[in-house]
Amino acid sequence: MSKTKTVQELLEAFGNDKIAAIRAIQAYKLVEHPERVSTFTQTNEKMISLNSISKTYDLKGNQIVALDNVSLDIYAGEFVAITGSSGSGKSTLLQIMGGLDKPTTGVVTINNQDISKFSDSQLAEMRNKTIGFVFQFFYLQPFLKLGKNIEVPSMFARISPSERQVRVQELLSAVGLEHRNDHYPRQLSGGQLQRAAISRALINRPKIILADEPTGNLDSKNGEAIIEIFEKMRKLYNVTVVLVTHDDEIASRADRIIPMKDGMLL
Amino acid sequence: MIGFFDALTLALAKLHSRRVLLILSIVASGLLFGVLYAGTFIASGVEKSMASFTKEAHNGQYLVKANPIIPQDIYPNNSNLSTKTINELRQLYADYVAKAKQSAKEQNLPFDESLIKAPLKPSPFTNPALPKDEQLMLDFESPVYSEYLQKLQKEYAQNAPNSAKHLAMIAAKYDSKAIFSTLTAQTSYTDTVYLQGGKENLDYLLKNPEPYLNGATTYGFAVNSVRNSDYRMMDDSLLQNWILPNNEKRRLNGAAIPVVITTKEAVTLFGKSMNVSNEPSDASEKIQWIKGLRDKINGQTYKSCFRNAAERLQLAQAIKDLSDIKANQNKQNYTAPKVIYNLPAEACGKMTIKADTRTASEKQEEQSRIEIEKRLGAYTEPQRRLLEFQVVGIVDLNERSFDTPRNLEELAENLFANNVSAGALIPKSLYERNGAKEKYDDVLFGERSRGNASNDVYTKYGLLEHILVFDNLPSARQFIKNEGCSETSPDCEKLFRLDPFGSNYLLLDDLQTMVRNTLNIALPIAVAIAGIIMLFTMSRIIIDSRRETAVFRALGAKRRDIAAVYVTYSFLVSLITLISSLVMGISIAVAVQIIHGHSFTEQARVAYSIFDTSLNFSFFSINVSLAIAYCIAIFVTGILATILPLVRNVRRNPITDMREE
Repeated sequence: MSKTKTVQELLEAFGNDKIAAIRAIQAYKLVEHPERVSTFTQTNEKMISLNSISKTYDLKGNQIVALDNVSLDIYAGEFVAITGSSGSGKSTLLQIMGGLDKPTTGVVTINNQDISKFSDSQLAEMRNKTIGFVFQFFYLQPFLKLGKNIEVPSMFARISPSERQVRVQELLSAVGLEHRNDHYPRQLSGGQLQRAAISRALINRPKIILADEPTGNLDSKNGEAIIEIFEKMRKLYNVTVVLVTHDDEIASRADRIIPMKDGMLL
Repeated sequence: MIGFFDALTLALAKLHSRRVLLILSIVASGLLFGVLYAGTFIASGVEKSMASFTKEAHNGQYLVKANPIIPQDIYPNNSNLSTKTINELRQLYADYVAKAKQSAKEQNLPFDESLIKAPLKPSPFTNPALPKDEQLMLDFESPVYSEYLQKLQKEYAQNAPNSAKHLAMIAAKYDSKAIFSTLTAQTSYTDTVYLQGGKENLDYLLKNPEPYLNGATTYGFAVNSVRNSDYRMMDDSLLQNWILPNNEKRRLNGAAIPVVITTKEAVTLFGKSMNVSNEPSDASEKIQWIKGLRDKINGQTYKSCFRNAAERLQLAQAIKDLSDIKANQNKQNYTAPKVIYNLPAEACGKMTIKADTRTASEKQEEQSRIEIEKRLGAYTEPQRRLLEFQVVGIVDLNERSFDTPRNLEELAENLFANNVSAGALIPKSLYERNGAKEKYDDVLFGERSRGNASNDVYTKYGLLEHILVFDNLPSARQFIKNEGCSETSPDCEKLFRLDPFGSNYLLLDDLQTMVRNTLNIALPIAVAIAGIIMLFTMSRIIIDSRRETAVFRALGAKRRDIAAVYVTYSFLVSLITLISSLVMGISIAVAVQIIHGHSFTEQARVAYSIFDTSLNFSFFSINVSLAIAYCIAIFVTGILATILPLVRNVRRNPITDMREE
């Protein structure tokens, strides 16, 4: 298999069987980068561990199964893409990892802590310090300057203003927005906004970045740039990146791709 | 939890969202509270200004005019005469007749009982079921009736619970500092005539011996006091603001009756001769006008002529006789009167006898009749006196309206009304010092003629007007409210009619009560309306912020962090509302000050007769406790309007809120 093959070509080669294509990519990665794959498994430092997670909703008396007995380990420093079509349960999975949602059954361990029994306040603290969220629509405060927007999570963490300044500058430089500190969100492009949002996710030096369709609102060029930023940040800050996407091209950039369908891992 | 400055940063950013709605809401609540603030600023300003003017004008004294209320049931009731009254009157009549009979016998005169009017006469109106000899009514013209009346009055006065002694005792409970009696001169519109240009025109006596039909027809204390001869003597200290400084002119006229008259009267009496223009309506022109008037009027004199009823009847008879003689001079069967008088040669002069053709016995008979009348207390000596008055002060009287003022002009009229209840006032010690007392006391304040005798009875027992002095407003107010009724209250169960004297300081109280009542109603209404507006706005803004809240929570904000941000936000909104209402309130008060301040200052200076003062009338003063109360109301409204939607918001699932895009 040539490296230059596009995802489209790959898909065609597998008779449009996405799952088969993804497995092929994973197999390829195992062959091409054995050192990286082994590092994650060998260190055995589980950053996120989901054990038999199920999530059911009650929708007007009908039980909707969003997640069906999902077990998954994500290792420190890993870059994981969760893919699947709309309604496959990938976003729900991400929210459960981020402590925004609770599973109906199963145990969620984040950074070696069982968060299933966490109170609201403990969950908030965990989200604040251990996790950085990146959203599809960036969700920056339109009336706060970029620097302040990035500072927001550190406000809840009560990090000193001087330390925040240092971190903001560092992060802005890292994402190539060093001169945009005093700009308002409306003065920036979509790609720039998402880079700022990534900076915001990293302000409290989290261990995990959870990104929900981070490129979903961007063109392919900007999407590519964002993925590069994620890769750069992973190296720079040694964070675990979990990315939810339905874009196979983007997913293919991850160390591991976890395809989902009907609330189950494939 | 999030630090204050961070919460402030986020809250300030929030102020930008839903700006139009927020501005409208702040303007609406600001307007509501602004008007309330303006109300308190103005009310408090008026109150303070009035208090300082009152204080300066009266040296911190608050005067109360007290009049005893004589219960009407002490007098016999014509429609329901009791057997006891009938018997008493019959007894009195019998005594009177006996006395008259005895006197006639002593004077050697024939006696005719039918000439003495009985106090009771048959009545066609009484209940026919009554015995025939009790179907009676009173005859007010009977000398026995007036004697009976005096007897009843005396009985009441002797044990009256509202005499001067009792008044002083009651007032002492309210810590009154002094009590002065005021004496009403017996000169009245019936027996005193103002001598215009110093001349007396007697023609009127031909038509009617009552001078009031010739001139002083309109009763109005502020305008016609001199024509109505309405004089009241008071302690000088009560009149000090109106008494003018002594000058050369005044010393020259020693024994005239010193009077403080009204500015309106001054114009009526001296307008032409002193070249005084009519009263200007503009307040600042008026102050100059009054100053000029004070200079011109000080020491001016005018004259009136006092003739009592006996004198007037004699004079009227003399005039009639002279004209009859003239008309009948060619008629042979005409018999001229036996005594013919010359009319007075000068104003208020004496009649002289022109011809007297009576025999000695006729003269004797006349003398005997007088003697009998004297014994029966029915004789009044003809009395006449030229009264010379000297102006020693002026007061600008404004009549008080008892209606609730509808605008600032009416408020001013009420505020600056002064209540002295008499047109012309005589300062007591000036009157005693300059020799007027010796010259005029018998006429002005001496024994009354029969018509005025009831006043004498009451005066003798201290049932007369008094002025009480209090050195603080609350005492004066309490005294008035607890112990008396106002002049205007028709049915009064209390012992006295009590009213502020000099200035209408009680209006301050009415004003305070009015403002307090209005604000008591207005504040909850304003809070309710502002609350609804704010609740709507805050709900809208917070609902709009659901996604933002969800994002904050995803970024690690705890519920109390979110609450801190929104509470800070609502504080900011309340602060802006507070500032806008204060700006609004102050602007309205300042506008009122600019429009009305000068005129009110001038009116107050005129009303209180304090011309050399730096005191200004201000419509702006801060009532600290009310200002704080509104401030709290605004903040509480803001917080309450935030809490409800906020609680609902933080309870929501952030995921749902983030998805709703």
